[in-house]
Amino acid sequence: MKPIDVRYNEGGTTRRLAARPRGNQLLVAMDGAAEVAVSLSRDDSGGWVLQTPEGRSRVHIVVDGQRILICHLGVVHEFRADDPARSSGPGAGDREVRAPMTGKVVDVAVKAGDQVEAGATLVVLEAMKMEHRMKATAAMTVVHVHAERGGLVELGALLVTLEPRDKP
Amino acid sequence: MTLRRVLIANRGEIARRVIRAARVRGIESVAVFSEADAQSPYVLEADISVAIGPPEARLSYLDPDKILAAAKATGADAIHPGYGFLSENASFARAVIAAGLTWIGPPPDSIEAVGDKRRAREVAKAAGVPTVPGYEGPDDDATLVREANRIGFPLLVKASAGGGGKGMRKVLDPAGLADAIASARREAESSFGNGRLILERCIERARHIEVQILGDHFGHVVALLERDCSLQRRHQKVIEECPSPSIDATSRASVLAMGVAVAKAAGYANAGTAEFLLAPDGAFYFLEMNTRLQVEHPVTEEVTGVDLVGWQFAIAAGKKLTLTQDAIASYGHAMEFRLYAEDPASGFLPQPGLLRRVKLPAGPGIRVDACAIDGMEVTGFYDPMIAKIIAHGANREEARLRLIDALRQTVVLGVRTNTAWVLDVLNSDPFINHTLDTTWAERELAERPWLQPSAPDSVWYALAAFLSAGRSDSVRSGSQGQSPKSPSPFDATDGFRLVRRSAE
Repeated sequence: MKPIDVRYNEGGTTRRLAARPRGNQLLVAMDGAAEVAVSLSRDDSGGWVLQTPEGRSRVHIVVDGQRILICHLGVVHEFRADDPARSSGPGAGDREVRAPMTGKVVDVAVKAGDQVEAGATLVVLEAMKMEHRMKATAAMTVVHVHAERGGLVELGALLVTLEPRDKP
Repeated sequence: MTLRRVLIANRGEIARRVIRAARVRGIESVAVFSEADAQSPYVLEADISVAIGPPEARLSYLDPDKILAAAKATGADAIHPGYGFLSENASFARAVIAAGLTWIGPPPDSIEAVGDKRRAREVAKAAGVPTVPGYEGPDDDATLVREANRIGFPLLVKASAGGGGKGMRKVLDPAGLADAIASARREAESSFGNGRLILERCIERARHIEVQILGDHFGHVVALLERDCSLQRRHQKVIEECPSPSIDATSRASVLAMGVAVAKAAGYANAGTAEFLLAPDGAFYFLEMNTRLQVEHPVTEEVTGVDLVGWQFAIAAGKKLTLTQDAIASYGHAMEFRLYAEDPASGFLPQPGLLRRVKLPAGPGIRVDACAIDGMEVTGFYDPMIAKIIAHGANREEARLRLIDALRQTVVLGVRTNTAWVLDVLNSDPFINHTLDTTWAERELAERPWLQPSAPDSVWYALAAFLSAGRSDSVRSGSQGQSPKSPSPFDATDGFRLVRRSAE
């Protein structure tokens, strides 16, 4: 075990974890609070047993790219190292409509220059034999349509670029 | 007739379920698999396995020629279609029979008579079983618009050949009708190769009750209780229960009799399910029959002790159904949870990806029907169901508590799943008191978007200990906001993938 002093984020909550080893335990101070002695050991099922003063719990942990996934009592928590640069301004996601899954474009309802209102259907995707309607999240202007009717798109593919409508 | 070797025209957990039912009857099994499933456990478990083409279902599991060629090549004498894929395809059933094989399912004429929503309505009406007020005649756009205005709004436009919400649109007012008709027809054509539509009045706050049918080829039909599948999202079932907590003994007797009446009117044999809506005023309306084994058949098996797949084999082999209606046992209560790779926080969109770790529950009263292992890929080609977890108890509350405990033991890491959401549902008052209906989840989520529960302190401590113990790279990079690419000792065992290549 090594000393750590890191910031991690789960679902919008960032916590600072500072820890130092003592014997075969780890003293963890979370968000500057008092240190708590914990230990983590492998169990017989490929998981880990965590021991804290409050008791024992069993967790399963895998590292998946940028994420650390921890399953505890059936619920999976996704952690990422906190990166202030990642939190770009609000609305960035609204300007790019991306494919939420791999599928086929069955309809393109807009063209460049169109003014769309919040809730307007932009593109209809079909995946797993279900139709998914990609909709505008605000009143916007269509800048570019990248999707083509009948085309196949991968997860995350850019479908439509929008820009906020000039305020009158 | 004795069956010796059955080909299972399906994949995943249901292929496994059928392989096991065949094995205890001394019947050999033939698995078929697409390129995407070459390393799936069911392929290993079958006595023989045959590659049938690329991952796209229409080029593999939905291609009748490939299935029949595989049956011929392996000397199979019967075909079990499972659920989905070709299971309700009457012309495939006919082709199986024409090839001299035994079709483990209902007669093709019955599939046509009650598997199609339009014809099912006609059969039920003739048998005196009530159907939802609606329209099932000629379906050109102009006629549908006229009939819709007669029925009134809100209404449902449904693909006659549809199911699971595919090809179905709810229409609130006349303005939305044209768009709904066009889009339902398009989805129906692409999903079922049949764009035929029907209209039904939308019965608000209805529950979904379905009757399990078994019939033999000598006209004997029984109902093996009912299932309540009222917890749905996107028109797909998430929790199914047997028996239904919504009805009393009198209503039960009435709906079971309706199910038997429809099945008899359709000349039904083998396993099937008659689906009903239960309106808030207590009236039942017949919807259609699912002319196959259902995904949720295990809850019926747990409560009645009847091996439905076993009976499918026996009935197909020409044996008489020896169960009588009065002798059908009912012990306790069972609940099934369908664990899906989907994200409840973003509209239940499927989440294809690699299953980094899977650990499914076990224990008294717990049954797991699954075909998922570490290192397996959930692909975008098929239904993203990972496992069915079934809990059986002396009563509904015991089954509920067992299911909760089972879900808390369940580990699925790598793709997002619906487990945490369903745990919240299982602990909610509407579920405990059974006041929910088929659109409850949708309304609830619209009102209060579901949020993933945040990690308790103990999980943060586990993260700290994990980082301290092995993730030295991320310790340094954590403060710089960059996660490492270099492997840690822990990654080595986590990302393993099966490398076995199946025999052709």
